Amino acid sequence: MTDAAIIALMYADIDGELEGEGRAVLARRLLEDPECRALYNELQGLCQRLDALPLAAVPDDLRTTVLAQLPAPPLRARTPRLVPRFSGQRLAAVAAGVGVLVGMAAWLHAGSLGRAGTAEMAGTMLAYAPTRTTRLVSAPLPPAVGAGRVALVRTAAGLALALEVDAEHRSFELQVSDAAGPVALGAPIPAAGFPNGVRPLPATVSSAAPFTVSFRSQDQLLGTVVLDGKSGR
Amino acid sequence: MVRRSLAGERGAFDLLVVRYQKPVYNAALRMLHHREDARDAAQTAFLKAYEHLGKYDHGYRFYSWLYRIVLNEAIDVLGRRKGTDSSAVEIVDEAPGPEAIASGDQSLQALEQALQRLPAEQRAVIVLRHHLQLSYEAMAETLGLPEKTVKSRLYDARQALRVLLRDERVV
Repeated sequence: MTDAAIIALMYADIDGELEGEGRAVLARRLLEDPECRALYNELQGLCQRLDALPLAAVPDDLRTTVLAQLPAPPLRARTPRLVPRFSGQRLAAVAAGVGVLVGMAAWLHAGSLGRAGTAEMAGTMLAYAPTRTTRLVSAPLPPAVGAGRVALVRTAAGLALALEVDAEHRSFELQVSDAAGPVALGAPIPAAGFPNGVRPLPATVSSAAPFTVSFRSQDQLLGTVVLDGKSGR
Repeated sequence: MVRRSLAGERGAFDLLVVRYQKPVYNAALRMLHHREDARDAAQTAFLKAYEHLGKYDHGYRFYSWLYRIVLNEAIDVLGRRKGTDSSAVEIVDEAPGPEAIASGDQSLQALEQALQRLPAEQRAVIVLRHHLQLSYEAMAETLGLPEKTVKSRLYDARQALRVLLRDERVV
């Protein structure tokens, strides 16, 4: 395995996203190689410092300025260009080509040259076509943590926990408990961080049985939420 | 809240702004390293989100859609600043960010400066992962890229940061 591949495994582990064989390979290397351990510590330190970068206070008038500028009849304006530009001109060209093909297919199906909205729909599909995640059940967060919800979702990779936490919240750690016992879920989340996103659940957690999500802060239990994917509650 | 906003409840959209203004503004600030530009980018992002809320697919995460809008907005600003390739290195201010100064931590200040030396697309993945705390999957959803590409870009960004920090003898 190349150095780059090992470093990639280290980053994935630090991000809490390394599973299965990769984790075993990394554990073996860390056990055998002191240089590898030193490198892991360096990378972990870098990531921790990035996590710790302080956040700025929001300008007082941001919210009021936005609200004051909302158009009177909402949601009726023209579509802006929201296709991501991260992949550069090549992606844009491919997207345009696909858009034309989809538009032509829709036109042929409709049998009408003047049918409005087909090209717009194709553009929308391209602009907003991320991986689909199915939400099975959700519940409000414990009040001691902050406002928001926690949800059990099914992703392409399996079951996961999705956090939708408001900007203001306490620092906390997540723990999932099912019949197999408690398991910590990812790294502690600082109060300044935005934890919204999905965290893969251990394979022992099933959508067919209720399980408990505990929110902790320095060994103090902030609250628990029970999610039951089967009941859909 | 999104559905209520769509139904014309401005109060519901107000709640969305309250909920997301901090991450949206900070994402713009990290990308642009300029308070006024970040404020404008965040403001424009919310207005665009409101304007196009009807096109938002409820099967996806709202914040992914919103973060994508603000990142695109920030990249537009970077492009306008340079008038050329927005993915090129863009340095507005050599000084550390106000938050790093306030913290008084020199290594954080160096990190802030190194971040500003990254290309915009690498800075974006650092923002999504470390400031917005998104998973790989949510980052891929936000950027509209395969997860593999996101991991690779995050790897490149972190390695570039290591080199920059080492050059400044911080690591």
